[in-house]
Amino acid sequence: MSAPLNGIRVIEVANWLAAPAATRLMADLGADVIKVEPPAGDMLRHFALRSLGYDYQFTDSPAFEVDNFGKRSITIDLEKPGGPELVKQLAADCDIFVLNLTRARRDHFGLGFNELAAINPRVVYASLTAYGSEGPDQDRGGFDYAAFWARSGIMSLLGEPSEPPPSCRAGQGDHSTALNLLAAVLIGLRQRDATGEAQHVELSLQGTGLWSIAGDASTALVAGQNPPRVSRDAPTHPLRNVYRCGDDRWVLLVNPSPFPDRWPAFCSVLGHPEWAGPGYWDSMDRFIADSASAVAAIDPVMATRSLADWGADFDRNGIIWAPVATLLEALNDPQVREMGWVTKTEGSFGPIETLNAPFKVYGADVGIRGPAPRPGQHTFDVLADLGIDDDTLDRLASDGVLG
Amino acid sequence: MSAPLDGIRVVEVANWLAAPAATRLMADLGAEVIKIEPPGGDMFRGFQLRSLGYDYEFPGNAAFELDNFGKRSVTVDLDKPGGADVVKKLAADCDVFVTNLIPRRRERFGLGWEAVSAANPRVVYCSFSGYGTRGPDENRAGYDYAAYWARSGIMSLLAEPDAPPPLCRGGQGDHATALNILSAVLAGLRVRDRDGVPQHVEVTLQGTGMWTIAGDYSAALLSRQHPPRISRQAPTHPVWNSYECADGKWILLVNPVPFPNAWPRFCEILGHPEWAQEGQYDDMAKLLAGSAELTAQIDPVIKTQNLSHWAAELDRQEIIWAPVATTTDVIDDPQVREMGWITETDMSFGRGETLDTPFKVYGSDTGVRGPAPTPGQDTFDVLAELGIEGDELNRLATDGVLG
Repeated sequence: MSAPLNGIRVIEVANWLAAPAATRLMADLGADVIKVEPPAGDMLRHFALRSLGYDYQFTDSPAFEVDNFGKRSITIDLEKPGGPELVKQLAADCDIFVLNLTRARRDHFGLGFNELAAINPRVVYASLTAYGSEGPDQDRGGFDYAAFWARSGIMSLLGEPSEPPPSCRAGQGDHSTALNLLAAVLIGLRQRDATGEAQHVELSLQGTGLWSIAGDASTALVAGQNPPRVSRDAPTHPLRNVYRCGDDRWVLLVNPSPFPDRWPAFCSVLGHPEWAGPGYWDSMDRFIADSASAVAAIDPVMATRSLADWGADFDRNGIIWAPVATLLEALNDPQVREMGWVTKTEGSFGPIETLNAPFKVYGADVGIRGPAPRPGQHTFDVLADLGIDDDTLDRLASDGVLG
Repeated sequence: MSAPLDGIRVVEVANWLAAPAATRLMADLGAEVIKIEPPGGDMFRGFQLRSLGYDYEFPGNAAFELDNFGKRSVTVDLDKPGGADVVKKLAADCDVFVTNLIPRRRERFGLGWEAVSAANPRVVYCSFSGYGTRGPDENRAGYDYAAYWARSGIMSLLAEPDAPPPLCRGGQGDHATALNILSAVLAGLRVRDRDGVPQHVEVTLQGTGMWTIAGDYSAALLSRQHPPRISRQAPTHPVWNSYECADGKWILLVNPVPFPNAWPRFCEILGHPEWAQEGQYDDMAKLLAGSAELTAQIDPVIKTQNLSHWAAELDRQEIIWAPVATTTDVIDDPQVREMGWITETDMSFGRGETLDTPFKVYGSDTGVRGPAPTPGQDTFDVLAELGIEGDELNRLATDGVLG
């Protein structure tokens, strides 16, 4: 079996999560990925996972590991004379160049698209920043929290109407954006192969966040209004809501078309078939006018039985539901295991379980290619492959360019 | 300028959001996309945007439109004799076949991977479903709410510790998953072009949701602990939190590395430089331990000034922040406009604004290709191209197979 990106070389000048997660997927697809890090290493290496509230002593960062499997690492100090030149030498010899430097820093180091296309006319140059490489915020730092969640409008729509904007999960926006970056790079590569010309692809955390709420954004663009937040006490309709069961587990119902079948079926399961009849809630308009009264009636009934009992009845009646799973439940979920979303691999600190690529290409060689590298683990190998002679290497090393 | 997917024909047997959003992007990239719909049309066409709480009479379904720009539509009733045969003929003559039928229905109609790849040895066949094509839940319906948010563990981690699991934005998981589908199809297309063999790629909502919280998973797989929810009253640390300003607007700070700069500078802005000095919260351990008491002290200070005041101060001190923007704020955001994430186009209910492709491929012809089709708009044209005409066409029409 061949790998989709066999023979493709990727240079990553990026840190934290989104761009490295995308190049990790390129490594899974068979590309040779060279990660260019500052001498101290990618900042994510040093992020204290314990600060997220785990009662566990992490000796290494599995979060760094998951975004950097199977890469080679070279450390270069971009601020030292000769540092940017080395990166350009690497860029001259690659297929894909992925960068998350802001516009000002990119221009300062001479790592813009025009410079690199001049020395590598077959490069696919991928730019990922918080806000984009044009516009008033081109040099603004963001992270997914600020650019993907807050500046895209998503955060303002989450949570109960009267509550503060909620904390989102750090990195969730980044890992969605990684999929956007991967798609853009694969498109650029296809276009390069077809035209033989260098390609410049670009995306931002803000733009990806906006895309992820495309339904809300497209609607607001027509209506000229912000959609209201949705409260669980007065949801769109009662079959699209969460309920607490007798065992304190939460169940989610999601049935976008309550009529003609699902609402009556649900009412029967609850033992109140009359709730779907005349005088009660017998049309979508009734729900739009007053879903709160229905939720108030349903809540005490849901509290009388366990999640498992309700789930069995919902399945029998074709009602779409899910448990609100914890992470531990999800990772032990037979469905997750059967699909192979979790896999065992050799990490840099021993054998670990981690996440596989989020898609399958059956019939091609796709998968984790080994541990994340230590910072600079491959510096000399990579530079020797570039044909840099020993004297020059020694000089670069003693000047601190290589960390 | 050429388009990356020029000459590629895509057949979509799918509905609602995720798969149609992915094929809409393929249309943006130049592919010919044929949407197969049941005679009444994709269920999503009939979804009432008003049920989301807008006080607005919509002239059409802007959200359906967005996920279906530039496609052709063929209506076929798969449950009528001869219906599946029409779709099989289309599948035999395409490059990419995308389906979100559950496996049981796929097999019943003869539209599974084996059957389609036997008829079309150059197909990239994309399976998309809530949970996957094997395992206990292979035939379970999901939607992004259930499969992406609830069963992936994400929903259990959101909102304040004691609050119910929050309602997420309908379709956000679908649009992230669309990027995963697009990536998987492009990887499959690359292998097909190179090796000349059909490819089977697969994406699920559940697996994509898990990928988006890869950082949390990597930690949970090691520690075997479910991470705690994070409260804004006791955040990880105070420069990673949201605060309400005097004008009721919220700002979000996200500075994952509080030392040496972000925290002392923030204290300076607040008029309390002593908080970052020796004996108070002068290192990471003290900051983490003191996050609740600090938040209680910071809240009233931020409440004394409007967002514009804090914005200028935070920018001056190079602290990473964003306003918690509403959807209409985002629509007017100069950064969004400058990057071109919003575009104007003809829609089936008139000209208006909508979201453009979420990435740029500069120098190639990508972008929205015109309105979403009406149901069955292209049925006779497409069937004529397949050579279905005369008596055969008449029979299909009179038997109601074409709606």
